[in-house]
This record gives sequence, C-alpha cells and structure tokens, in this order.
Amino acid sequence: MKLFRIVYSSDFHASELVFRKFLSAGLMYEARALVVGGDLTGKALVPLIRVDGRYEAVIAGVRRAAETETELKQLRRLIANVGYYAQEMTADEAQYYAEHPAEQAQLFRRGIEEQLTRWIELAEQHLRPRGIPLYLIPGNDDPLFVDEILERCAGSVVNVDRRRIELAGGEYTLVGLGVSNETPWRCPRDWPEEQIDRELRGLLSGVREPARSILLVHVPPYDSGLDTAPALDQELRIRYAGGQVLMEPVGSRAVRRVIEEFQPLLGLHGHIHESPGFRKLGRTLCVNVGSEYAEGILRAAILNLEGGKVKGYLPISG
Amino acid sequence: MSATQRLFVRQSSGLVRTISAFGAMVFGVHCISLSSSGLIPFSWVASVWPGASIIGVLTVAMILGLFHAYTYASIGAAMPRSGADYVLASRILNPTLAFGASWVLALFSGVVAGGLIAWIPGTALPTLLRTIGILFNNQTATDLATWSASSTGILVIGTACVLLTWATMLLPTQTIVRILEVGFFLGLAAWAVIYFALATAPGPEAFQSAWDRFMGAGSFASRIDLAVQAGMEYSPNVAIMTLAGLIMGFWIYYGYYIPTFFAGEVKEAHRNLLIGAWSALIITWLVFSAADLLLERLVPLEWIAAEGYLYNNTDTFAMPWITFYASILRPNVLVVGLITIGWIYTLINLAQTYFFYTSRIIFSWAFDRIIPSGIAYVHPRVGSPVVAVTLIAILAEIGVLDAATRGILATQLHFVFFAVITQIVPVLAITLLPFLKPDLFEAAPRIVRAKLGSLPVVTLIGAVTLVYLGWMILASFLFPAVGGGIGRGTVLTFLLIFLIGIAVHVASRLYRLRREGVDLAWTFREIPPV
Repeated sequence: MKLFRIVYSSDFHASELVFRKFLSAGLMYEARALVVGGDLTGKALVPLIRVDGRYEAVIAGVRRAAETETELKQLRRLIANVGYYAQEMTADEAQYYAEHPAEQAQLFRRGIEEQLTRWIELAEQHLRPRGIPLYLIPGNDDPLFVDEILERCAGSVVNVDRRRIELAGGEYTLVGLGVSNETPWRCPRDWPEEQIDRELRGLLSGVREPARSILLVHVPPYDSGLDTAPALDQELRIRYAGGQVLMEPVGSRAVRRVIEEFQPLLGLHGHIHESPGFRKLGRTLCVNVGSEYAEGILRAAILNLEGGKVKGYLPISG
Repeated sequence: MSATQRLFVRQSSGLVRTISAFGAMVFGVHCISLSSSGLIPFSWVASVWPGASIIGVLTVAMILGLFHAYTYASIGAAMPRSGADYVLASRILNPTLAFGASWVLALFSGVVAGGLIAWIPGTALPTLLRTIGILFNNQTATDLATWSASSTGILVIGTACVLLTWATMLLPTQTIVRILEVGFFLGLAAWAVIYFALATAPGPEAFQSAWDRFMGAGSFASRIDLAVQAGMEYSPNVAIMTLAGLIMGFWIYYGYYIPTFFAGEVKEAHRNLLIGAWSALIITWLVFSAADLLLERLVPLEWIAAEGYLYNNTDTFAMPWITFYASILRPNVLVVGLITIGWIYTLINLAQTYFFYTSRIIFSWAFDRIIPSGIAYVHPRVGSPVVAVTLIAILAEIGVLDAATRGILATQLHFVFFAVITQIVPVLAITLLPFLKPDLFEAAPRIVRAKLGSLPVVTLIGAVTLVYLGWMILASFLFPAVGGGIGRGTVLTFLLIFLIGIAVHVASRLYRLRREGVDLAWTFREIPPV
C-alpha cells in the first residue's frame, strides 16, 4: 500500500497566477497527480487602447497606463493574473468590437486558445520531467471549442472529460465529466439532470470497483453544503427577503443520486466559488475547493489516498 | 473611453456574498449594543471621571475607534474569509502564535457572552423592574428586581437567556440576520422614546420635580452634596475628558469591527467592512451623544456624575440610568414598555453577535483542520453550525455561573484586557504585511495597499492601533476602576488559556502528520508561481 497524493483545484478562470501557483503546489507537495475540476477560461477581455504611443486600460475601475514595452508587459501580466484577456487596439476598434458581438467572440476565442495552449506547454515543461500527470476537465463556463484544444493534449496533460482513467497503476479510477446542471446563464456546458444522470451511470458502470473510483464532476452534488449560492429571479437578479440575500442549493440532483448509489471514494467538484468545503455523502468524501481566482489566490486540496481509502486531506491556499 | 469599451464580458456564471454594508453595520451596532453601552456613558463614565464632558469622551473614544476599525477592515479585506484575523496572522506571522491568540479570544468571547447575558438579570432587568416599581408603586416589580439581581436570579434568568440565545442561533443565518435587523430598529425605537421624553420636558424644573416625585422630596437637590461627601471630586477639564476618552473606547464601542471575523460572508469585503464598522461607530456615537445633549438640557453634568458616583461607590439607592431619567418624565406604561422591550431584545442581540462571530472563528480553525471538522458541522436543513453554537453556549453558561457566583473570571471586566492582548497578533500582522509579504500586499484590495507617500497606510494606521492597544493594556493596570483590577490571577489565566491553545495546535499538527500524512504547516506555506 503506497501513499498516492493528489493536489486538486478548480475554477482558475484564466488567472495566470493561480494556474502557475497550482503547478508549483503540485511540485512542492510532491503530488503523484494534479487534478483540475473545470472552468479554465476567463470571463472578460480588457482592451488595451493605443493613445498617443501609449496604452491605457481600466482594470477593476482603476485606469492604468503603459508607456514602455516593460510597462506594457507588466500591464498584460496584471490583467492575466486576475483572469482577464488583453487585446491591444485603437479606440475606434474598441468601439467596433463593442458593437459587433460576433467579432468580439473571436477575440475571446483567440485569447482562450493562446492561453490554454501556453498552459499546456507550461505544464509539460514542469511536470513531465517529474512524471506527474495533470488530469483536467472543462467546466460549464468553458466554450465548446475548448475541447479541440484539450484533445490536442499529449503527454502529461490528460483530458478526462467523459472518460475513465486508471490511476496509481490501476488502484484507482478517475471518472470525469465537465458539465453542470442547467444554470440561469445558459452556459455552454449546462446539461439537463437526466443527461448528467445517464452519462455518469454509463461511465461508472464500466468501473471495476466503484469504491475505489474518483468522480471528477464540475458541478457539486445537490444540497451538499458545497453548492450554496444566492437565489436568482428570472431577470438574473439576486432575490432578497427581509433585506437579506436568499441562499439556496444549486448543485446537481443527478450527481448526488449517483454518488449516493455508487459511493465512490472521492467526489471532486468546483463550480460554486463561494461554497468551499469537505462533506461526506455516505462513505464518499466530496470536495469543493472554491475559487478566489480574481484575487490571485490559489485554493486547492491535498488528498492522500492509501489502501483504497482517503488517509488524509488538507485545504491549502496561497 | 465609453463604459462599453472598458471591459468586454462574455456570458458566464456569477458570484456574490451575502452580508451587505447595512448587515455589517447592524452586526457592529449590536455588538457595541444600543442598550448596555447606552447606559455606560451616563452611569459609569460620568462617575469615574466626574466633570469629563460625556460627549467629549464619546467623541475621543469614537475617533480612536475609527483607526482601529480601519485596521480591522484591512485585515478582513486582505483575508476575506471566516476568522480573517487568525487566517491573516497565521499566514503572515506564525500559525501557532496566531492560533494561540485566536483560541484565547474565542474562548473568552464565549464566556463573556455569558457575562453579558448575566448582565440582563444582574443589571438591565432590575433597572427596568425598579423603574416600573417606582413609577407605578408596584412592590412585586421591586421584589422581582431584587431577586433578579441575586445569585439565584442571575443563574436562573441567565441560563434561560443562554438557552434562548442558543436556540435562536440554531435558526438559519438569514433568520438570525433578520432578528438582528428587527433588534436594530427596536433599539432605535427605544432611543426615540427616550429622546421624546427628554425633548418634550419643558426644562430643568420639570426633571427636578419628576425626580423628587418618584425618589422623594428634596432628593434631586441632595445628590451632589451626597456624592461630594462620599468623595466625588468634580473636575471639569479637557485633559481628564481626553484621558477618559482614551481609556473608554473599547468599553463603550467594542464590537464595531466584528464583521471582520466573518469577512468571508460579507459582500465586497474590501469596501463594506470599513463602511459597516465606521457607520456602526458613528451611529452609536450619534445615538449616545444626542441623548446626552437632551439630558444635559435638563440636568447639569455634575448632577449626572453625582448620581453615577453614588451608585458605583456608595450604598445610597441611586438610579443613574438614562432609561430611568426618560421614564420619570413620561411615567406611562407605553414609554416604559417600549424601552423595556427594546432593551431586553437588543441585549439578547448582543449575545447573539458574540455567538455568531465566535462560531466563525471556530470555523476557520476547522477549515485549517486544527480541530475536528465535526465541530464546524453545518446542519443541512437550517444551515447553522449546531456543534459550534452548542460549544459556545456551554462557554456562555460558564460565564453566567461565574457572574452569578462573583467568580474569579469576572469576564466582563477583564474581557477588554484579554481581547486587546490577543488583537496585538493580527494587528501586528497587517502592520508588517507590506514588508513580510510584499506580493500579497501588492495583490490586496486598495484599502490594504493604499500608500501615503511611500508609507503603506495599513502600516501607519496599524502602528497607531498598536500604540492604542498597548495603552489599553497599560490602562487596565493603571485604572483598576475601569479594568477591574488586573491581578496576577488574571494574567496567569490568560497565560494558561494561551498555552493550552498552543498545545492544541502542536498536538493537532503531530496527529495529522502521523495519522494522515498531511502537515498542517502546508496550509500556511506561501506558494510561489512556477
């Protein structure tokens, strides 16, 4: 029986700093595998406006300027660290993109492709020499074209979405599904509960020993304490009662049902940033590490497996 | 540049937290307490420093609080999560030291919650019952007041209040917040009634005549002479007022900063923690100052000081309570009833805030796996931390027992000393943050990384706060009338609880390392990017 250590994290949302910290954590804590629970891509793009030979941008309400190449590099790094993409353009071009959503989407696509490709190269560079694999799935916020990029992975980075992967020489099975139940935002990978149920059952039914399986699903199980989020109305406005925000469980009933039925060793989840924690559903330890990507803070978990059991676990952040 | 050009956003999911600036302010106001702290300026401050301007003391104390509040808001902004003070200090200074300090604060907060609850039967209820007894010539109310303040009364009513607080803390957080919001408005309504009674009195003669009517003919005129005979030295000067303000800050306003302990639940913590703390300070300052202005329109400061002096230093029957002053001017059931309801309700609110913030500190320990995660168990239906709240209720009952038996802890009197000592650790951490963790400092919200010239504001204000905390410790020894006489026993108690905390941390780390293969120190380790 040998200790198998996983470093798990999720919901980087394009934060360059958080991804780099995650790779570093894997090396620092001598992980045997790194696992990512989806939502790799960012939500916003900052236009770097060329004005009189310098660049201007507004980040978190603060106007910043770069006059030299070094300053521009620093500004780009700042934008990347909080999970935004940056694109140099003139004020007229910015206006054009603002008025043409299809072209704006192409800008996002270019930013996402460039970054994910770079991340995969970075992971290979740091993990391959140590023989550490990085297993990942997309999340509901990741556009569908992300699959094409992840499919190109070879070597240390492995896309586990809708797949089963043997870990630790077959001692454990990692089962991945990079989706969420339907959200008010109609995200690219929002699935109906029935489809999630069907897919997970299909994946788990092929597992030799479910008790030694690790379920990597972006959305947490319903009403597990890992899925508490503000209730929204039809207009996506937060619902209040008596002046207070109404909170409600928003996880997947299908994921919960499948976990309760198959009782895998671990359930690794993300999706709800504000609801991190460790919860037991029967014998399954479910984990949501949460996310503070915008602050450049890595939230992750160290999971020690031994003899088909979770020997220990520890949340880390930094 | 137009707004649409500043940022392009694609369709994706969102994120919010739950406690607003208003919610943070409500928590702060209740932890300061519109009721218990509302009595202090007129009964205690006036008597300990006879002659010191009450509004002056309130103002000096409030201004010092603004600095301390900025420091704690920065702590919450730098680490917006449960137990932000512990989390920050453990990451910046030392995890064992941070846990030791946090352990003392949490344990003592639990016990002092009981001490505050005991204040309901010990002081608040007898005051209100005596008011009813005197105003309506009701002997039963007077007898009840005497029983309430007895050891048995404190134990029985105190225990009932602990159970009531415990039960309400098992409700969903949203319900608790709503209970607190109702209390905020009830508390303000009680003050509005007090203002009404004071403001509608025609003048000093009306107060004098009302006092003599209920306290005996000639009583009003005799109070100053009686107090002077008992040793009161009336000295109206600015130096004493400033000194009193420098000492009384925490005694009057302690609690405005508590949302920092649950910063992880505060929306836009970098903004709302400061807004909440400062508004809590300013609102309570306004409430108490306005009452003083109205009271001093009717009664000279020397008389207020004398009444307080008689109560605190002699066996003379005295009623130095702003609630009583208002009630004798409008001796009807509605006025007394509204004040009583507002007072008792907000006193329970006060205990609730202690339960709430202490449970969040315990959460942060559980998140770091220093204590068993079962202690932070949250009930799936009601969403409340039932185990943590029950543990705090046990600590609170110890506080009630201690108060009922006049025990050695004397939690209420020693709490400021304990709280201030433990605060040095997180305040030192935020003060040194720019130098010990420059990357965290640079990545922090604007409130944390703001600079005055080349000097970080958190360092500057943190240093002022540290000096203030140091002074508070010194003052606890220099002014036993305020600090309760910090003796060797108090210091040893502190050291013992602190050392137990250190032992818990060390033992937990060893256990996790040997049994689970994880080192708790990893939680606190900085992770540099590759």
